[in-house]
Amino acid sequence: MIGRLLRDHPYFAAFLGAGVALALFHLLLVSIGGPARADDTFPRILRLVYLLACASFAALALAKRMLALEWAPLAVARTVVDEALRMKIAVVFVGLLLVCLAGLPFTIDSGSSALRYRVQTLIHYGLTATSSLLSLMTVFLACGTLSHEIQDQRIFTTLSKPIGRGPYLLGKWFGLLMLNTALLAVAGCAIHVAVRWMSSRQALDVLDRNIVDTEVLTARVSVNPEPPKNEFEQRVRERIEKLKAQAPDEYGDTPAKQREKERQIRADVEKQWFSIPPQRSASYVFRGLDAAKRLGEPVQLRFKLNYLGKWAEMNEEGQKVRRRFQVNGRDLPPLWIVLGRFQMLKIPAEVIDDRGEVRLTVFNNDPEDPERLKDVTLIFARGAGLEALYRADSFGGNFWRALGMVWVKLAFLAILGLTAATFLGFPVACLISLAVLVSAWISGFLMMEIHRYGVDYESAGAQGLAWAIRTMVTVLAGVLRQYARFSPAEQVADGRLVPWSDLFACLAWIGIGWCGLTGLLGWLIFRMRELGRVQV
Amino acid sequence: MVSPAEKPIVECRGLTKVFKDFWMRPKVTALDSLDLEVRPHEVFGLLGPNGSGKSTTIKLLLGLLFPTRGRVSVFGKLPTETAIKSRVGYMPEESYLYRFLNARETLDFYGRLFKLERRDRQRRIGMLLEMVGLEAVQRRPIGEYSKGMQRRIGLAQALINDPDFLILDEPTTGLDPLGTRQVKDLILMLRERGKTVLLCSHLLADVEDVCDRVTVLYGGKVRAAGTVKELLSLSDSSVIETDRLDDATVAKVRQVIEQAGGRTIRRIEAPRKKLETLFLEIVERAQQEGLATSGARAGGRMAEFLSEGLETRSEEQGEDLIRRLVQPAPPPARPDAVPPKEEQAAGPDQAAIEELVRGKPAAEPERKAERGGEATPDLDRSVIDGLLGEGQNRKKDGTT
Repeated sequence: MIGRLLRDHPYFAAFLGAGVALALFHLLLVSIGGPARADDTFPRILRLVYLLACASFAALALAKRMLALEWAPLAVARTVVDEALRMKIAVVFVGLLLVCLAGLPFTIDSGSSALRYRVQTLIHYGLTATSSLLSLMTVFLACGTLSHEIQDQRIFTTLSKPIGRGPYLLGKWFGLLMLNTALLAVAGCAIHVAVRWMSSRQALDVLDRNIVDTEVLTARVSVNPEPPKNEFEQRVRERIEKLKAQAPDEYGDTPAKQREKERQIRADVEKQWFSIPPQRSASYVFRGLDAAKRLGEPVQLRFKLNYLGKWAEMNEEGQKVRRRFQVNGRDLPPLWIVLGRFQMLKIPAEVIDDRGEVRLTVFNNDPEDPERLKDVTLIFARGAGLEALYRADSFGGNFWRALGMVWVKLAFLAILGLTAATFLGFPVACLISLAVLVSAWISGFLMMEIHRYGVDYESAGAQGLAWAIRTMVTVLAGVLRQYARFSPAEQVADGRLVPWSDLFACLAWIGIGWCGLTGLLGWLIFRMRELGRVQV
Repeated sequence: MVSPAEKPIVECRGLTKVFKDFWMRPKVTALDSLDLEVRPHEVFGLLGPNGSGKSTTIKLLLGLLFPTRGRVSVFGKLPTETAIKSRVGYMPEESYLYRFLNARETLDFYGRLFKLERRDRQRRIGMLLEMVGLEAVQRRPIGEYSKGMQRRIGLAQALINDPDFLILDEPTTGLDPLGTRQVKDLILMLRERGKTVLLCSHLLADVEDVCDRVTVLYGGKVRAAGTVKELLSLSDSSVIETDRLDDATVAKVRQVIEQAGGRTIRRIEAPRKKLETLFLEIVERAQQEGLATSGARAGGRMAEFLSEGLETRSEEQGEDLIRRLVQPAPPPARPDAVPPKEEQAAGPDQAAIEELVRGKPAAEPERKAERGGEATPDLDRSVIDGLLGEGQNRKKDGTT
């Protein structure tokens, strides 16, 4: 019976054999170096890889079982899963992923660094490795499963059966989805368990432990203060008019140059709004904190202050200044602020007013020693330099929503690869799909920087070409930036909420919109394509 | 058996296929105004040298290619319609199968595409595996199979849905004589069950053995079409087969024939055993001796679901035969009766010929005669073709 089981299920036999080999290896280590040796990093990683491989195998077996339902596209889907595993395409990527996930916790677990960084690194690297490796696997597999089938003419036999080209393509996509679901579930569980294990390790001090609990293994909503719109726009307009009147050359003689100048002015005004001149104060209002008040969650005011201007004592980052803060009119004790580093003020929920607002006022003078550093202009760092955060969910929920986004993006890559393979051979289809993937990854950067390209070109021809390139890249990056927008690894590692609304938006944009359009395009091409070639 | 009145299974009218290059310029005309009909319940042979358009025709019938001009229909519908495909079985010229699946998984996959119920599917898979002799190696990936074994599983997948219309593209290529014999038997059995078969083969002996009608293509055009009998009959010679004759009897026969209008015997030789028969005997003996093989075994009995309803028909045919045998023989012609004109012309030779004919063995030639074919030559050419791979060469030489 066992012999038959092993003969009929070679993968089961392989896993069993690997388990026995591992046990023997463990015994060997114990016999050579005693129990301590068996607990060394390498054997532990090996054991973990084995465990994860078994889990992946079980998850894929379950996925295959689900694909055994009586529906023709599911038959195709099941074959895709078999192909992925038996043709070793997926095995390579899965092997890499499992080694990464098993090795990562032990690699970064050095007692000398703060626990919060170790946990954050584990989350960030774990999620990034999972999404990157599965993305690559999906592209190669999606392109390969269809283009090889057309090239090897296996598709002749399959499509001579009563299955349309649409359902056939759908089946291929389902297969890739199931494969990704199974692997993502295993990887997700592995990262989750590893994070829990890591967070239970020794922290540097109580503060470190506290940060892990309240800033990393949590899901916080972030609120940024917005400058008053009318006032802000008026300032921008005034600056533009002034520049036009005083230095029209500097304003620019082409629309592209003028747009660029206006963008710079807008950034300057915003920067100005976030800066506090010496001996002055500035107020910033955080709105939409009703939920924190309702939940009774304290608000974390997180900020990073830099300085402007020359001053001998401020010549290095990390310089401290003492400043006074007011929250909703209540004075806080004077605080020592380390310039150039993030700091946190914890505000009780009761302080939030009935409109759900918190007004923070910063006084740019030393309340106890007015002469000390009195000429320094302080400025909040760009981006997340000033924000209010409150806990809205647990780490677990956040983490799995993030994985949901990864799954949706993998679904898009799967249909993208399949669509490319409907009319291209394997290498070109892979190249196109990878180009789209990389463009999507860097679309944020492209959107930020492309407007500068070719602005200074002199000749009309060069300007025209630059305009064409700018337009093309802007359209491409504009379409693809949704992909980069839904990149939750950093958010989760930073303990920021990945809201359901983002997951649904990701599902709507990428899962339904992009997948639908790409799939429709693929189906149209595939439907019109002749599968036979000249063979007379 | 083949009724021209019935609506054809396959109908091609003015079917033209031109392959174009990247710039949409015509590159190759694979089919040129092809008119073709495959009628229900017949075995139709599609012949032609390499590049004559046989495979293109099949791909058009399966909806894998689209016609440039003309019309093609299968079961009265466009070949791209998935509904008709549930009635079609297709065995491609190469084993276009998933190398990573084993035989059972392969048949299960295709069975699922036909929406066969699980239990029925499993039953058919078991029968087909037994029929094609791959039961013992059903768990091995197809990529590890020999070419012949892959052809066998290719045949099995084409039959999983018990098709009404079976397209066989070079079905015996790569098969050993056992498999070849089995495929031919299968085709004949399917025809007996009222199925329609389109057979495309280079091995002319295969086509000759089993086809009712054939069409010969060359350069994408029909060069000849008709029944095997029509195309192959040689009206200027006769073959007489009898038990071994001594020289005196041969001399007598020669004399009788020479008297019949100056005709002569061109060739007299002792019949030989067929190479196919010899081969099958050797394999059977080896199997009886229990010699091990890692390849395909001799195919088992025909899958039950493929021969359902056939027993009844055979029984009916048997009863009919018995009835005919026990019926009183027609009264012998009276000596004084005036024979027809032709018989009169045959004169005394006719009696001698009748005497010779009476002794002929009934089995194989009778089956051939039923199909309207001539008596087979001494050797089954498909076996030699299979062993030597010379089918094509012989065809080029123009010999058959």
